[in-house]
Amino acid sequence: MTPTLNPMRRHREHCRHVREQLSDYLDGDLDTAQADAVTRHTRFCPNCRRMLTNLTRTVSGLRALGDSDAATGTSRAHD
Amino acid sequence: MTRAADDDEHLVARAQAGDRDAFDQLAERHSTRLRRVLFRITRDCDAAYDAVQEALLRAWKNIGRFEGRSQFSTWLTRIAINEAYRGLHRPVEEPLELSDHVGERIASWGSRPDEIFETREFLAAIDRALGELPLDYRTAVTLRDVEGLSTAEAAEILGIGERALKSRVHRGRMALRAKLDDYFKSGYV
Repeated sequence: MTPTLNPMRRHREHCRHVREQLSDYLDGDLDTAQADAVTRHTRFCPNCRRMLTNLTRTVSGLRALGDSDAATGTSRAHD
Repeated sequence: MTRAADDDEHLVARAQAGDRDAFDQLAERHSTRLRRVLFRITRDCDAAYDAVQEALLRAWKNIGRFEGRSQFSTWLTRIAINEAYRGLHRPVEEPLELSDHVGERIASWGSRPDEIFETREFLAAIDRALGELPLDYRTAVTLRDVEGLSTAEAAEILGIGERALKSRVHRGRMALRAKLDDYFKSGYV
């Protein structure tokens, strides 16, 4: 008989799988089914949703860092 | 091909024929961006400046070996990153062979003075956290997210596969997110 995975353990496994995909999700590199699965999971899992929100802010901040450099022509290195 | 890449192609052809002025134009066109990238990687103005100078010298000496299989900017960035790594006494991975639907943009974060201050403070926190990342992750995140290169371009510059590049970017982003956790909890952003 196949042992049934404890629901909490199954949830954690799912969380781990989703978290591995978050960058691809943000970059639009997942296929539709995978992206839908991440959307569904983050809608119901508060921890993964918070992680996705904060990862989104982090990536937006990195891009803003590049934008602010480009806008001011800053290289901070002997310009 | 983009207009810039097209212009580069003509200048490269002239430089390969020995036209130093053409190479100087290429150097002028790319050096500010290169210094910016290398500063983010080395976190040292002098090291970034020196690495760019070395890279330009090396590129001029080897311009005849550039075959145009990649864009000139990709080739030059790869040389520059190798020089920066050399300056950091780190062996290079490979000897020199010679969506944007992400979240909110900075403009949408607000225009009130206190919001702008908080945004600047957040960007400074990101910059500090970026400097604390392991070199491989820092370089990958800088090319992909700060410079906005595609996965394919960044992977080509580093001489690694796209899968490896994506893995480094993901690990780097997740590490940054963890470092910025206090900031997020504070409700600043």
